[in-house]
Amino acid sequence: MDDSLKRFRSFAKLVRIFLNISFWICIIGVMILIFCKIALLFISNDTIITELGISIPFKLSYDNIVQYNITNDVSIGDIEPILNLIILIGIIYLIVFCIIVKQLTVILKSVEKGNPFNENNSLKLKVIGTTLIIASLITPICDMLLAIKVIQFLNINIDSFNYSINLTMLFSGLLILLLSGVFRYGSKLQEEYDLTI
Amino acid sequence: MAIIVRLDRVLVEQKMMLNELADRVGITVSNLSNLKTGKVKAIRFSTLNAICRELSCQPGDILEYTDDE
Repeated sequence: MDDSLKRFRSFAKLVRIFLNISFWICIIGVMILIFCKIALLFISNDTIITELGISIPFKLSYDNIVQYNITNDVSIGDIEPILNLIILIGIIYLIVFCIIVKQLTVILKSVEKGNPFNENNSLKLKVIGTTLIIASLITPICDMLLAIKVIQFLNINIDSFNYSINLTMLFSGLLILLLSGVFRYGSKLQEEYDLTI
Repeated sequence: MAIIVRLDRVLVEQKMMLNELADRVGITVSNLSNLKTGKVKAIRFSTLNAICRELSCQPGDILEYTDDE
């Protein structure tokens, strides 16, 4: 039992280190995206994208399934709405990821110390669950907006768009909220156990 | 809580220090101190058994019930 517990704690430490690195990579990613947004403000709309080192043809897709090759010269002004949206969506996704990862690192730290059942972890899980539920509503909107912009750019005629909630994210969020209740109960049991001699 | 722990009284009668009792019973001094001050929520029979054995007393000598009302 002790050996498996030691291995589990070592595994938790490894995962925590990995998540910490991912967190900081995401923070750097957010800063890079903000920098790109600021840089876009200083680039003239008439600048052709090949002048920025982007080679023609470049691929564009609105659903990540079908990709369109853009073969003619495109100016920054033509694709600026798409670029702005990509930057905004990227920042939103990264912030959601950062929030979740930060909560997880705190939870894993308590697992390493051998104290996973505490009130703080229950709150962290509640934050993760709530973030996932909100993201399940927002991320499809982001994807839809990007699809609209790309389709407008490609001059494709579209009748209507369908919006659907990301059910996987929604149910994951609900499950984690349930788990936070379990951890809250666990923390009460842990307190009882700790105060039993 | 209506249960009062009279461990300090029994320790004085037996002329034993808290840390000595903790060593003999096999629990930490802080846990025994928590018991003495009434901060614990529960005590295992095995622990109560060990304390009574070392102090040569009855559980009723250590634990007392008073009506809060």
